Amino acid sequence: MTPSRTTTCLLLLTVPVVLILCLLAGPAGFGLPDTSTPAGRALLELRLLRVVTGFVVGAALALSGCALQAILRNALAEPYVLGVSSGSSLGAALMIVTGLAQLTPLALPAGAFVVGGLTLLLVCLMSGRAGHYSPNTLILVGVVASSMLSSLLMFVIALADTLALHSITWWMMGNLQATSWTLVLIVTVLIAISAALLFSQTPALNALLLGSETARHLGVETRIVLPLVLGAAALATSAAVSLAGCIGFVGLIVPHTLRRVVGANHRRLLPATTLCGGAFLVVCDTLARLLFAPREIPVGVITALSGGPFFLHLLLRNHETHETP
Amino acid sequence: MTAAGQADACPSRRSASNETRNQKPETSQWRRVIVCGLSLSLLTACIRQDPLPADSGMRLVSTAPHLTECVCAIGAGHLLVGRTATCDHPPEVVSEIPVTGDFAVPWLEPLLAVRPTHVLETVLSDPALRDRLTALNIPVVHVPCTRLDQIPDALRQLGVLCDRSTRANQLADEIQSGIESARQAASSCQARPRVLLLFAPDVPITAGRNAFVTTLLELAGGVSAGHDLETNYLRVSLEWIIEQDPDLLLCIFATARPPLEIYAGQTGWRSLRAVRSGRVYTVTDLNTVSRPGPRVLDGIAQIKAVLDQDAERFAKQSPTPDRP
Repeated sequence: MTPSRTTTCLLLLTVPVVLILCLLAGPAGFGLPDTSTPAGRALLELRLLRVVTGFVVGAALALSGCALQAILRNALAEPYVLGVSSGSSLGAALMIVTGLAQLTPLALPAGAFVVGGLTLLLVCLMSGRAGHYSPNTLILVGVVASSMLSSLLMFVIALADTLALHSITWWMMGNLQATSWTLVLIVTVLIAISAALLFSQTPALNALLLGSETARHLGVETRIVLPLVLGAAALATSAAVSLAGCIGFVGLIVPHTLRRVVGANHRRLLPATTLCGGAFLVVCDTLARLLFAPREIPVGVITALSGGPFFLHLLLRNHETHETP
Repeated sequence: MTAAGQADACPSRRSASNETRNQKPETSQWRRVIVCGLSLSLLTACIRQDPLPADSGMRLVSTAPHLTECVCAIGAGHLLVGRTATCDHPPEVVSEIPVTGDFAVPWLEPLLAVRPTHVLETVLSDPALRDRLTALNIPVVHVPCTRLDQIPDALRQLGVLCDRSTRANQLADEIQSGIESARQAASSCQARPRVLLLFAPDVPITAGRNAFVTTLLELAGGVSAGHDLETNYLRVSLEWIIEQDPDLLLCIFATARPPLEIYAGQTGWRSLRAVRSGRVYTVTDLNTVSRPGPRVLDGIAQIKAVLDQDAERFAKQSPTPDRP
C-alpha cells in the first residue's frame, strides 16, 4: 500500500469518529442525550441535524474549491471567487428586505440559490464569449461581478430597517442551524448531483492541471468539461450557501491541505477533500457552539480564524516561490 | 459665376440666414435666463430657513427615538427641529420634523441645515462627532437614558433644559410611582412564568439580566429565562433554549406571520413545551417595550396583559412544571 493510500484509508476511518464526537458534544454537556425524555430527543435531533448540515455544507464548499483550483489553475481560487457568495447574499438580502423570507421558510434559501446561480451563469457567459474559458478572464470577471453585487448588497442594507439589517448580517456570517430536514434533504440531493458530476470528471481535472492546451492534446474535450465542472462547482456552492450563508475559507484551506496529504491526483483528492471538508466544518461548528456556551458565535469566525493565517502563509509562500529565481 | 457673384445673386437667402443666426443667441439667452430663474427659485426653496420657535431660541435635534418621545412628553415637541429616521411617536409631532439622521448616527449636513442650538444624545455611534459639533458651537447634551431607572432623571434633565420642569417632574414622579407599584405587584405574584424573550425570527437572540426588556418583563410578573446571562443581548444556541424549556416565548420583533407558526415548523423549536402548547406571543406595540422612554408604563402593562392572557388560557396547568 502506498503512503497516500494509507493516509486516505486513515482519513476514511477518522472522519466518522470525529463526526460522532461532535454529535456527542454540545452546550448541554458531553454525551448522548437521554432519549427517554422529549427534551433529550429534541437535543439529539438538533445535534444530528446540525452535524449533517455542517458535513454537507463543508463537503460541498471543499469539493467545489478543489475543482475550481484545478480548472482555474490558481492556488487562491475558492468557491466564492466567481461571485457566487455576493450573488447569494444579495438574493438572501432581497428576500429579507421584501419580507418574503418571513412568509415561507423556503423563500430565503431559494432566493440565495437562484441569484447565486444566476451570477455564476452570467460570469461564465461573459467570460466564455470567445468560445473558450481563460482562467484569468473567469477570475477577473468573477471579481468584478462580485464587487458590483457587493455594492448592490450595501445599497440594499443601507435602505433596510433595523430588523432586516440584523437578519442580513446574521445570514452573511453563516449559520448551520437548518430549519428543517426537508431543506437539508433538498440541498443534499443538489450537492450529491454536483459531486457525482465532479467525480466523473477526475481524469479530465488531472489533465487540466497541465493547462487546457495540453489537456486538449490528451483528448479532454475542454469545451464540454470546463462548463460542466464550473456548473457543478457552482451548483454545490449555491446550494451550500443557500442553506448556511457565507462560510469562508473551507473551500480554500481544505483542498490545499489535502493536496499535501494525499497528493494531487483528483481520484483520491476529490473524495478526501469532500470528507475532510465536511468534518472540518462540523468541528469548527462544534467549537462555535461550545467555546462561549450558551452564547453561540458564528461558525465563519472559527473557519476564518483558522483559515486566515493559512491563507497568508499560502500567499507569502507563493510570493517567495515567484521571487526565487 | 464667381463665388461672390453666387452669394450676391441670392441676397434674400443670406439675410434670412443672418436673421436666424441673430435670433438663435437671443432665444438661447432667454432660455438661459429662464433656467437660471428656475434654478434660483429652486435653490431658494431648498435653503429656505424655518422660522425660529416663537417662545425661545432653542432648536433641538434628537438622535434617539426615546429622547424624541421624552421631549414631546414634557410638552417641548415644538422645540425639535431634527429627529432620527426611526422616531415615530407621537406621530402628529414627528411628521412635521425633518429627519437629520439615524438612531445614534446624525448626518452632519442635514443636521447643520436645521441650525440646531442643542443636539440631544444618549449614545453616539461616533464619539468624535461630539467634538466636531462642539467645535461648531453646537452643544451636545448627553442624556443618560438606556435603563429603566434612568428614565425619570432623563425627563427631569430635559425639563430643566427646555424650561418645562413642572411637567417633566410631574411625569417623572408618575413613572417612578408606576414602576414602584408594578414592582410591589410583581413581588407579591405567586406564579411567575419563565419567559424566553426573542428578538429575531431567524436567529435565537435573547436578552440577559440587565437588558431593558428583561427589567420590564420582571416588573410585569415574569421571570426571564436569560436571567443568569450577563450580556444584554446575545445570540444563544438552540440547545441551551431546549435545556431551559421556558413556559412561554415572547417575541419582540415584527412578523408577517403569527410567531407560533414560525417556530412550530422548525426542528428543535417545535419540541419546546411552550411551542407545543401554543404559548408563543408578541406584544402589540414593540416600541413601548424596547424604548426606555415616557411610555414605559404602557410597556409594562402590555407585557402584563400577555402574561395574564396566557395565565387565563392555561389556568389549569402549573406555571412552572417540572423541567425535564
